[in-house]
Amino acid sequence: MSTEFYDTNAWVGLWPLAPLGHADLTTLRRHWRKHGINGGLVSSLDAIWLINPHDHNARLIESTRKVSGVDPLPILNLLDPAWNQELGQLMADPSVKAVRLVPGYGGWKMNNPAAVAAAKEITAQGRRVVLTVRLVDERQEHPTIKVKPAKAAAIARWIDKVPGMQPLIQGLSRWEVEELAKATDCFITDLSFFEWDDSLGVLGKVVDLKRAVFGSLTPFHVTQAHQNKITMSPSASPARRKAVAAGNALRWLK
Amino acid sequence: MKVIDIHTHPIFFGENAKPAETRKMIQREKKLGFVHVVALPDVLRYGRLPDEKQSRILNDEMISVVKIGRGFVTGFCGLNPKLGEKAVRAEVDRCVGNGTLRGLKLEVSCNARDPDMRWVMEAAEYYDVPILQHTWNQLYKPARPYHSDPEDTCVLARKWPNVRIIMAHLTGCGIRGIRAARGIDNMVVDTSGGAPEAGLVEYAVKELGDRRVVYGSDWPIRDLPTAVGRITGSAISARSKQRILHDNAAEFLRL
Repeated sequence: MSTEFYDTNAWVGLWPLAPLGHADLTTLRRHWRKHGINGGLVSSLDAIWLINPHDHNARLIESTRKVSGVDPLPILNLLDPAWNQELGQLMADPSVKAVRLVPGYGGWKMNNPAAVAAAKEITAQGRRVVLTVRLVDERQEHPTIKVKPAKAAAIARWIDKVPGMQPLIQGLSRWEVEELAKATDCFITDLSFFEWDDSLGVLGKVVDLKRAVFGSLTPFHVTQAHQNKITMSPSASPARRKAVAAGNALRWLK
Repeated sequence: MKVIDIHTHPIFFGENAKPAETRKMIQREKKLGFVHVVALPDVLRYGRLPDEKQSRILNDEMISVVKIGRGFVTGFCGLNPKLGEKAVRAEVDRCVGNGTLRGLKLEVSCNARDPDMRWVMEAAEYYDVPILQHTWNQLYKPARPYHSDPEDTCVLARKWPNVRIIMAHLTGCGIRGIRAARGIDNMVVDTSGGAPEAGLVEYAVKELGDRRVVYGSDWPIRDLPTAVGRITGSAISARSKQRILHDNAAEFLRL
């Protein structure tokens, strides 16, 4: 029986620095269906570049109402002095189960007081926080936007300041997850940049695999490559693989 | 689907050096459908400029892996070209001369354009064995004097048309590297290394043709099913996938 997937790390729109992207949710949905992905969290690539991404967030939320299985993951840029207004509008929409923070591309750092304030507010509203630290390997990044991923120590300090929050941290390398796990167990993670021989088995030695979720990093990465990381792990049990593919993320979002 | 992995490091910074660990690795690869692998020496264990004694230790390990593999493993001989003609030739004669190791591996001892590469290339031509040259885009690294960019490896391949060359790391070479590799019949690009970035395999097939791309993983730094997935999950024909995963390497390595 094939494994069902819920994708926590997908993007719609075109990436201006490489010939990548799904122009709209219909093409993304078609891509997912081809790979047995029933649904997932989706952000707008257009929103990542704006200090105030309201229009793109609103358009994303509106378009997800017409396509089944797509949960909107709007982006909040904390560089925007009016970020709390945008957050208020997002929290007023019941279809928003989580909010994405992307410090590297947003131009703010983890020690920005707004990072704690926003996370506290999102958590108080019963929603989830997704922190995306990396989209592109720094060695291949376009020179005009050399993005430095948030450091594990800074992420740990941020988590520590928001009681009750269990964010999804995406895009960490093996070494970064190991460092973060030493400081806190209040997070879940995807495997989009976590790789070693038997990635899932190695991750399972660092964090309980109940805290691991599937993220394809579409359109940046090859979806099947990340699916194989889970379905073909030689050490994880079938039940554990199934949970990482979809169950853990769906439970986290409830 | 049958798979040949042209880029593995069975012993990595001293780990997995015991014969039992090599056997376990081979079992796992066979279970995944691999029919043959290329084993590359632990080339950075002693830094980028291993001396003669250190090179012998690393290559002796590869000889052991090949013996344990019994036909499943092709071992490559690691070389530091900066040791000079006499030392390079002696090590190639010792490891390749009797047919135990059947390829040469170059890392970051020197740039592929370095004049000292001559001894290596002459030995490769003499024994008619392929060379795997580590290659990565140096956009942000000031390491060009000893680290090879795709253009450096392409210059080497063009200068020595009778030597078969594997330009390693498709992700590190990127679109620029793929374009630099056009029209070089004695060179293939391996898909090892880096994250499974979308679009690169398709671009390589479009620009180079599906005969000039070979599958590699860079195991154990990379996850084997993930590395295979970047080929099987790419938007190319089933025939091209089979060529990349198996046929091209079988032909290139003359298996």
